[in-house]
Amino acid sequence: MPKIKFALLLVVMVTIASCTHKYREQKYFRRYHTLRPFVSSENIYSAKELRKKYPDESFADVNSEILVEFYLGEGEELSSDSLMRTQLKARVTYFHTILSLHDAVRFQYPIFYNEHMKVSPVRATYTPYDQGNWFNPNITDYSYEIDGYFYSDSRLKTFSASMPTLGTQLRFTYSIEYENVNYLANIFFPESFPVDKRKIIVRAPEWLDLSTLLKNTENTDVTPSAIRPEKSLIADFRRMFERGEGLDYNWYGNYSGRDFEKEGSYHYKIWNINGLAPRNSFVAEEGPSYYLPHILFRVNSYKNKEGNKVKVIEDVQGLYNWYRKLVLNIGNDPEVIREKAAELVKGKNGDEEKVKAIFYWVQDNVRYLAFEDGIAGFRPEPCQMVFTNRYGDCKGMANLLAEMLKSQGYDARLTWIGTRRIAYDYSEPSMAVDNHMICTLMLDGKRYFLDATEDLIGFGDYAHRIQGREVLIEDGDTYILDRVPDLNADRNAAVIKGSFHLENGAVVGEINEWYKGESHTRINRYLHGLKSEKKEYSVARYLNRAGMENQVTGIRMDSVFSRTGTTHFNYQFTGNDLSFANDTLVYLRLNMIQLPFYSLEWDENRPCGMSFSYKVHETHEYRVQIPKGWTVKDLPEPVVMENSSLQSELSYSIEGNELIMKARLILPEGGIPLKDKEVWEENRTKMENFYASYVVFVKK
Amino acid sequence: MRAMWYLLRNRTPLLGAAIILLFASSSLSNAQSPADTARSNWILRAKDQCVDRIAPADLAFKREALPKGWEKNSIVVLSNYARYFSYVDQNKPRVGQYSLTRILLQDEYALNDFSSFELEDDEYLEVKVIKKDDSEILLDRSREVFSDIYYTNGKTGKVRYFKGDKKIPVPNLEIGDILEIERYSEHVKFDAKGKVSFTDPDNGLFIIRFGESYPVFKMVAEFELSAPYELHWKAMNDAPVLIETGRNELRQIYRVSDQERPYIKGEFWSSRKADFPFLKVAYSKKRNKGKSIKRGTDELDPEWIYPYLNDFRKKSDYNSSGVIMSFSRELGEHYDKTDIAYRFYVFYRRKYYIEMGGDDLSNKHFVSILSRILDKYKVRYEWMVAIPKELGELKDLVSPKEIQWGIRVLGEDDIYSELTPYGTMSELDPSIAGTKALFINNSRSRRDPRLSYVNLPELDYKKNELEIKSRVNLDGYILELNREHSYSGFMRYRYARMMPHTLLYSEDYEEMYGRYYKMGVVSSYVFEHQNNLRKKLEDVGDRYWHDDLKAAEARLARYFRDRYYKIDDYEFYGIDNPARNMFNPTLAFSDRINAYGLVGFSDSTQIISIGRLLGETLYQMDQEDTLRLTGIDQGIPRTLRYEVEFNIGRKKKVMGLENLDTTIDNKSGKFTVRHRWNGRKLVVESEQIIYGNKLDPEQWDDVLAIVHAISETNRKKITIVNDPNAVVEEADQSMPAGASSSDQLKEEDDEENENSGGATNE
Repeated sequence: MPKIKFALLLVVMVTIASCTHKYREQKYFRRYHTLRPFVSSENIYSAKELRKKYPDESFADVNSEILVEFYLGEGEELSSDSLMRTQLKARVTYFHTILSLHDAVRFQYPIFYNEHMKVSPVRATYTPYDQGNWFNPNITDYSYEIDGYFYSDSRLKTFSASMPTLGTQLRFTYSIEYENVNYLANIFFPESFPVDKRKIIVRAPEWLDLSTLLKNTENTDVTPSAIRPEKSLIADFRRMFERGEGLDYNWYGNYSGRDFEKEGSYHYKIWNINGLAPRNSFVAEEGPSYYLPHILFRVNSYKNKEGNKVKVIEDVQGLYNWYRKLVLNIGNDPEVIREKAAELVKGKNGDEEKVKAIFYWVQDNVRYLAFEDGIAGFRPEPCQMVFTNRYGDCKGMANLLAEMLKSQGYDARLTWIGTRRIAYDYSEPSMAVDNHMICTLMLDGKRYFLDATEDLIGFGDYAHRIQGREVLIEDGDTYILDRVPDLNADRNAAVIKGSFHLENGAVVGEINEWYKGESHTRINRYLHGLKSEKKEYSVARYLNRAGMENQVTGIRMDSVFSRTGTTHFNYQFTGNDLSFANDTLVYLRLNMIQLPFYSLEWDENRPCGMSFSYKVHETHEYRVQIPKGWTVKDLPEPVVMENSSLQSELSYSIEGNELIMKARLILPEGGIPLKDKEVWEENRTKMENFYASYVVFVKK
Repeated sequence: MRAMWYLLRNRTPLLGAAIILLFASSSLSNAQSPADTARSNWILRAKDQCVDRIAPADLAFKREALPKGWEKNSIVVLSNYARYFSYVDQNKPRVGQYSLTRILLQDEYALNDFSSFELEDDEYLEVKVIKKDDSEILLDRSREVFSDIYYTNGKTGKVRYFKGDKKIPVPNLEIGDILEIERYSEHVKFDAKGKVSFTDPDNGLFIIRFGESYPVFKMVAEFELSAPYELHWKAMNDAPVLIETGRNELRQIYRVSDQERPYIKGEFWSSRKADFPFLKVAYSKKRNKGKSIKRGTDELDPEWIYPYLNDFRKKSDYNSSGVIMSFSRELGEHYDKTDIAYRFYVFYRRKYYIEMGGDDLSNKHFVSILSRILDKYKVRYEWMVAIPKELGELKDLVSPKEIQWGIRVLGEDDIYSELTPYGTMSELDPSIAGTKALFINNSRSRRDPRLSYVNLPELDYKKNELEIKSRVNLDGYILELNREHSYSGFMRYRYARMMPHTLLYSEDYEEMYGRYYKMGVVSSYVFEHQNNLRKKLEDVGDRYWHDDLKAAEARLARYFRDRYYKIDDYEFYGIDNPARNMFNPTLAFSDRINAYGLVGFSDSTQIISIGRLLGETLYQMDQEDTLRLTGIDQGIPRTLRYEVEFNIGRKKKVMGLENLDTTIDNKSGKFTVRHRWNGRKLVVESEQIIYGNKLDPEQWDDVLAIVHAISETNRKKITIVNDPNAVVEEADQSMPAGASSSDQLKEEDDEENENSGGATNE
């Protein structure tokens, strides 16, 4: 018997082991079979259709809504001292339906915010099969590093969700609350993925005076809609909330069981948007407010709980009043800086020399370190702090400069400005208009705009980024609106001249380069920031743009490190790759230094114009001695293009025994508008062909 | 304590006050977590302890007269004092590091570079600005900014908080200022309650390099240790040596010092790590019953390696039991002992890189698991111990961290050392090629293993090949290149990473069971089951494959764009061989690029920069034509072949072919260009061979000769001109006068003409 028992036990054990073995093998591949239930055939079809339209994209938002609401904060009184909070709050709720256009991809979504905004938990569900099974994705919340900023309070919450197969559909929702309604300046329509359908609903209570303005929607399919929100996706979500499908957070309680009709009178503005392309980045792109479709919000006034009308930013005066509050109590102690300012102007003759001494000292000795932290993002640091630390952001540097000038009896004022990156001006007053602060000096009836963050810029010269921009200058309780002068491109003239002869198959000669204005400042900054031990090598590399197969020797530099004046380089050049010969012909092309920017290709999907860092005005002239006993056989066709945003001219000619190549490019506006796309491309092709063309020398 | 409790119990008001105080203190401490408080207290205390041990003379400092020429440097390190601790304190092993550095800022670049400091959370940092008048400015700690990270678990709602790096701006900085930077860090961890745990300093490896970044006027580094730790060190390339400066029952101190060390300028293709002076120092616990084993000062004593080999076999290491069980299950009953290592290699590669989504796998981890597998199946093998060339030879070993481990099954040639998604099992890390390795046979008693020294094979240029064949179509200024790529050996790695999906199940499956079928196993269960499995895998694989081709195209387009020439358009045709199969590890794919900037015109003449199509442009390096100071590192020995085929239209002829061919062969490498022209079709072939990766400075002229030949070729151009007499002359142009093609090529041409029925006579 024991033997039989043992045998039976053995059989049972072997069977269990065998089953377990099989089970584990099945489990091994289980995950591939479990992918299917997430996906419906309709979704797969939709995903395939969308993939045809957007072949490079992994996801698309097939149906989304953005609800913008305004309400009065609970238990909070508006105080005139309250700078960053208002009783009036705004909440924007986002509803997304994301469809996967590929297999095995992971959807990632960023939510940007700062300390004046509160972000709700994110709720998500896979639909349609997993509808109602809501979950909270894992959220990572971290500081968002902005280029050029030492520190900002910008933060980023991200979450990701697995999209295992083509056609996987994910729905998610979240809200952002704005503690100060002024921070809700605009909402951009596109996302980093294509959006097939989007509805934007603005629900404004009747006691709210709200202006909304659609921008850049000329080429976007936007139609106003009459549909009420309860018949929309929001209502769909609301019904899910009402069914208690896991959305029991306070954040969403506002919708649960509510009837919009009974909540008093509201003004609705609803837009339906279709077929939004994804938002991509491009070389030399304009600021997003120039070309991306968006809504601009401005709250003019509202009635508070006491029934009193409260003005917010009704006009420019309203915006100025708010800014003024921020700069009135900076806590400047001019005594700390007075001595230094006096020391700087000592022995200087005339106001301009004195102002220059202070302006240049701040430029040279105070490093730009941008802090954008809460109120610090709007209020300058006290002048004595920036002075002691020798670092500060634009506001701190502008304030220090103004206080130093004031301490010496000059009329210097803080000035708000939006750089060229921003499309708005003060005709649409809001916090979105400004992103920079400078100092305005009133001297002899003239206004000088001093930007201390621009390293090595001369007095009376203005960086391209602020040229032509409207400024808001402090003037006690009122303000002054003015505009920074827009300087001509020829102020930045760059001239390169070379004279060469042919020697052992190489083009040998001397080159001179002169740079003025911003082209001078750019080179000056570049050279200033180089390591001492590598400076010589780096200058040689910079001048040898033609490539290392050519040689640059005997470099001389004049006025390179002066703030004003002209940079001048003189050097010997040997071009080993510019010509080649056989027994009867010499081929030559002078393309060693080409005009800037022209070769940038205009991407066919580019939705915006080009914006360069300065207005280009560059001229080249190269002369080559024609060897004795030879003559020129063919000259390439000249190129001449001219319109309001672009002038170019390239040609070869013969004067005596010299072959002359002349090239000129002027971009008078420092950019190319979208409408001139064809002009740019035509010019690019012509210039490329010109530079690729050879001149042929033949024996006489 | 009891007395205090008695007092409190009988004094109710006192008890109340104590409770209030307790609450108040706890609410105050909420501002900082217990871990933060413990960490900051610990670091401050440990730093003070550390500084107390340093002789004041080492910290004394005065402005020194710098050597001539140093004023041209952006930054000069005036003094650098560093002290490394490794000792047992209250039965806890501790390892810490203290440094005090003074640097002189001499230009704008230096100001920008040192305008702010970043430090880790468990690091003590103090920065002082010493002005020219010797006044001092301290960092304003209130300007410290953090990058905090919060991670919210969606399921549990728990929020975990990570303190990110700190950033502090440096105030009032001017050229000519001296920065005094004091840092202290200790390898300690604190849990949420502030409880401390330590990292064992055993085998901590420090490498001090001299003249690497900035000129250094004066440096001192000290190593302090106490029992049971001992110090091993080796000075390489004439680096300053370590001297014992203090010893008592509790601790020993070693010191290395250096003065007026200039910054060593790098030269083209120089191997800074291998050629420049450096000092290797390692702590280790005394083993073998307290017997001290000197390393790094004599021939390698394998005695100290054995404990690490035994560590490999411990179950606690790497939590590998699950992997071993899983492998055993998959292996099933049908296996051959000689096949185990290979099967595990394939299995683990799939398991690790696909199922576990693993990133890089350490060499030690892989060898450890493999040794446990082989032990389990009683396969006899030997361990390989090698050291990368750049760290010296085996006798220079001071720490097991320098070792590249490997395993070789007895009776086989393959050495298993690396597990990479694209590698094959016998590919060793290039850093140990050509070095002498120690093999330790485990077949005998572990106490008395058999040892042998073997020279590992050198890298072979024939096994690392790149071949790109391009068929070129001319379209105005655009050259359309239809290319066939082929990469073998180490040349395939760069491109393999850009290919679709790391590994495909279907391919891997073939690899896994390819040998299995070859072995003639015909078990019906295995056959049917695995065939079904294979179908499922292929289904999944195909869908991944399809989607990933797009991504691969984007990666390749980014890589090739404007690399050698400007690219207008890129199209990825597909993969001919993915190189993941060990039976054929050559990556092959084809693509098309439209390149511009290579064609020029003069009237009706086309001028083509043919040289630019023959691989990467190597520029002349005039500044390197002078005396070479350091050794030359040419990278992996390799062969690069390019073939460009032009179909020139009728009534056209090609000029400039006579100077195209070239051959240069010397000790550093070889470069050859040959062309074939049959009146219609022009074929240009180039071959570049780099024989060895390390060369002496004296061989720089050989290297330059090759570089200049390539550079010359890169500048070469051909012209295509109209030829009204082409029909008459075509036969004569099948090998034009002056074209210096070899006889062999002529023969090939003849053969081709014969095979194609005499294409030139058409």
